Amino acid sequence: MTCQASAEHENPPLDESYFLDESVPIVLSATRLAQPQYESPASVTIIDRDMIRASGALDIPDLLRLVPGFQVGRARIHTISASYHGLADERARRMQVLIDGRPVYGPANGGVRWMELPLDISDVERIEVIRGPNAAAYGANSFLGAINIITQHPLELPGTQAGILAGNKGNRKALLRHGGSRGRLDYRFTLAWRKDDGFETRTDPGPPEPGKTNREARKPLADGMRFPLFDLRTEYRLSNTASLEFLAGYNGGVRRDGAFDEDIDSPREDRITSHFQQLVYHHSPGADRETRFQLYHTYMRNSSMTIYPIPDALRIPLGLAPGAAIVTDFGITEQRLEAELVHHRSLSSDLRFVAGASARLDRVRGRNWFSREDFIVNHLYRLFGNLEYHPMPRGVLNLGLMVEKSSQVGTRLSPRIAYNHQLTPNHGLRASLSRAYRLPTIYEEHIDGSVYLPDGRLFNRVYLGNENLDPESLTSFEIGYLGRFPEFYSTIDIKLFLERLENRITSAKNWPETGEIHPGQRTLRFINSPGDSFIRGIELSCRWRPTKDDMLLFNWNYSDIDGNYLKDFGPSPYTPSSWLFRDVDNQVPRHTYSLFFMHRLPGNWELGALYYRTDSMKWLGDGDYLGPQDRLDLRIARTFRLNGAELEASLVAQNVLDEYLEFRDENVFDTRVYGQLLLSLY
Amino acid sequence: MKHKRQVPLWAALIILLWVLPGPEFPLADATENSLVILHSGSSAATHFSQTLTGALHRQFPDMQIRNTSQVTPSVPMHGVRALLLVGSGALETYRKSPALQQIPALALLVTRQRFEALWHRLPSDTRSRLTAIYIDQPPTRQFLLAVHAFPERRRLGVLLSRNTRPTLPLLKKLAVRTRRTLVAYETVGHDRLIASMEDLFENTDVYLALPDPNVINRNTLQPILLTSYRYRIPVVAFSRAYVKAGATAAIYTPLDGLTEETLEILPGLLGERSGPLPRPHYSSRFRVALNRQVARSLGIPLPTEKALEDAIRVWEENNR
Repeated sequence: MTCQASAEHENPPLDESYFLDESVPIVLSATRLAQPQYESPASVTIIDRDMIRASGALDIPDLLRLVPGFQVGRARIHTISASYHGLADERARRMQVLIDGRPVYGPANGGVRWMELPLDISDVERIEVIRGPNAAAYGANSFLGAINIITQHPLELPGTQAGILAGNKGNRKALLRHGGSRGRLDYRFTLAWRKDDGFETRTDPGPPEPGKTNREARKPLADGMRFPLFDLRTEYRLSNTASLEFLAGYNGGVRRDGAFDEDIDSPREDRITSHFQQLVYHHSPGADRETRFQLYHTYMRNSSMTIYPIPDALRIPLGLAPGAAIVTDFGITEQRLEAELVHHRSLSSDLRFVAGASARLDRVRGRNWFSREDFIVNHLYRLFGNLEYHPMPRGVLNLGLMVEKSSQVGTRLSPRIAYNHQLTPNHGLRASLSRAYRLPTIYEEHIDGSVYLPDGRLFNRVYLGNENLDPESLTSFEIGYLGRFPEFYSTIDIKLFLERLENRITSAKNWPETGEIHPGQRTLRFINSPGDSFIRGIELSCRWRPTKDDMLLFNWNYSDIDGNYLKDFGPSPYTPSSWLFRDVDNQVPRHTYSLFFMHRLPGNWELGALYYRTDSMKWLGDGDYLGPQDRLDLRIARTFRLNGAELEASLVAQNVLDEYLEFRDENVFDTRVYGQLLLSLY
Repeated sequence: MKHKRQVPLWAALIILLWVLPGPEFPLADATENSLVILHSGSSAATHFSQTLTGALHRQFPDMQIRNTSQVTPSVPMHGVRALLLVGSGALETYRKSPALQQIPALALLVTRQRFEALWHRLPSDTRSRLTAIYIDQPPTRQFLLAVHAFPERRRLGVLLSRNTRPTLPLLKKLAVRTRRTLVAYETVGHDRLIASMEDLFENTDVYLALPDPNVINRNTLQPILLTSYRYRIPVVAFSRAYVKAGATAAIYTPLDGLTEETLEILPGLLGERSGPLPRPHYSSRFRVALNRQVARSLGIPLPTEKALEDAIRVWEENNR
């Protein structure tokens, strides 16, 4: 297919400099290149732009259903928990999540506020998911795994895109994106606005938890969101060997929270202010080395408050004046500042290393959460490195180490050793052993969920933190096989894993608290659970991809968790022998499957389908025990080429099968349908 | 060099001899048995000229060699036995000077396209005194590099413009001979370059980046490499610098080989050997450059540079 040529612009002449000039900048440098799968010390799944589009997903965590072993649940439309190998509450905090090298899990409770990130799914170029602890490379919090989200470079979006989306449940979105260059500066920005009315909740009693016979009806939740978002990414070429990137973003608006028929936790609108600024300096004087220095600041503030007028039946015995009310400020402010320096170097064709250091400052404030007015501050210093050595042409040895010193728990070392062996160019084996730590969150250490009466008396204390917590520790061993079958355009990735979780941080009931209106009332307190849990299992990912636009992906995870954890301090809280433990058995689902299909038809039609199924699982925190859930999402799209522009029209139906439950048994995910028009102008 | 003070003649001669091999020396002072290297002033041409000067001194110790980037066109060339034109700027100077065109000349560091544009306008007697070794490699070799480096990738893509459209019949024939599919798109203009690239990348397995400033140059290199990487397509280019930047492979003319070839042709140019000058031609030497980091990241196993060079040479031998 050839197109009509038109008059060409003035261009550099075809002289000797064109062939011999050595001062050409390095474009595909060490940090831009993805590590090939067969050399990776951990199992990695890559989700690229074509898969993102074909899945019909509106939010980034929903893409994690394309990765074996992941569970994704929404506590509300705007609160998503995504975790690897279960063990997740509504803010799954055992995963490291990075956007362009910037950690986005919050300092307060360690989870990711996915819907408050200043990022739109259309900005994502690629997601690399590391399935397994990867502390040596990604630091504290890459406990169960790490999710590395890479956004589009400005040069990858030349032109303008405008989109509009409408669906049921009040689902609306408008989007404008633009990328361009001015001399040495390349830039792209995204402006978006979104709205959704949230889940429909059930109030009838759900299924009983294991070991119980009946359930109480839960209160219907207030849900919904609407917000604007903006993000910017720019790169300025300082010279042939150096560049400076500046990234920034903002996400605001409101999220509805609370529950109907609740007193303190009544329906309300949380006002969100979330923004970040990031500066990155790259220097690559040669193909064998690169230095990256970054400085970033993130700020997340959630303002929300309820006023509960105390009913007379309660007010009068307490001796309070008429009109007395309990004012609860649920607001929380989280801020992070970090500087990080990383150096990549190839010493020879057999030896490469990465080394770096960082210093981080986290601070959090929340009057209601911590019962104090000031900021709680944490410092974290890290030194890390990974050595990649080829002792023989077919083998790769990866040795990694992270040294972390935090103001919370002191110094910890997270090592990893992995060996990959290529049996033939297309078949390889891998074995790795690693240790990772999850530092206690500010929430786990300092939470003081106290509710005070207007005259200052303590009314109730719901949660109590513990400043003496040790970090959780995960020791992981896995062996894996990666096979490529180029004549069938297929790859198979299998691994067997064994993980041991120690010092699990949990909140146990019936810790005594004095000084309350009702003496003898107990509270929940965070503690390192004695004992340990073992997770063992198999994970499989099979992929057939004959062309960029056609793919069949099958993922399966089988996990078995053994062990118990402290749930209740029992009648004698100071006597450990009377403590009550609970079995962890159902906190990790036994089987998780997904099947993903995408296909391009002639005439610029695209089809996509994603089927996902998970066995019964107990979601922690406010979550419930849910039976097996499955879900099928379908997408159909057509691209029209116009003069210098492209219009994509798509129709997506999420969950076309029976309604299923997400996270709690009130959240009914029935079928959601939306249509989108996306216009791209070059 | 004019002296502004009165000095004895013998001192002036000594000073003159001292400064003889330096640059910016006017040809008016040329003596018998000299050779002039006229270069275009670019950094590549300047460096190569210096290397060439050193090699020539060793090979022809009795010859006087002048290395300059300037010449006044009307000056008569006494005793200059041969002229080496290094770079397209030097070729341009040659074109404008009938005096220079009387001297046997060898053009170096010029592309075939540039040289042929001049060649066709010269009278036949001048042509009998002029030859060239092109700096670019024939498109055949670049195509063969793509074929031998990526044997599993069957579709080879090119993006043509006015400069490279004439190579299309040759590429088509090569595709047939090597049992590959050629996917040829044409650019619609500078603004749509990346869009045309993306269309091409959707339908090809290897991108053959032919030397064409309309398509690939210092400004477009970054988006082209980023886009090709996103599509997981290796790029086969024409210079070592592009491989360093991120192209997976390239075929180029090594300058040390060019120096050797110049020394081989020179006796003929100087009239020390009978027979006509060789016709303007591509260098017989070529080298392959590979970017193993990019290849590894794309999951492509690469043989050694030497294995690829040998494979290309063998194919050329068998398919004359």
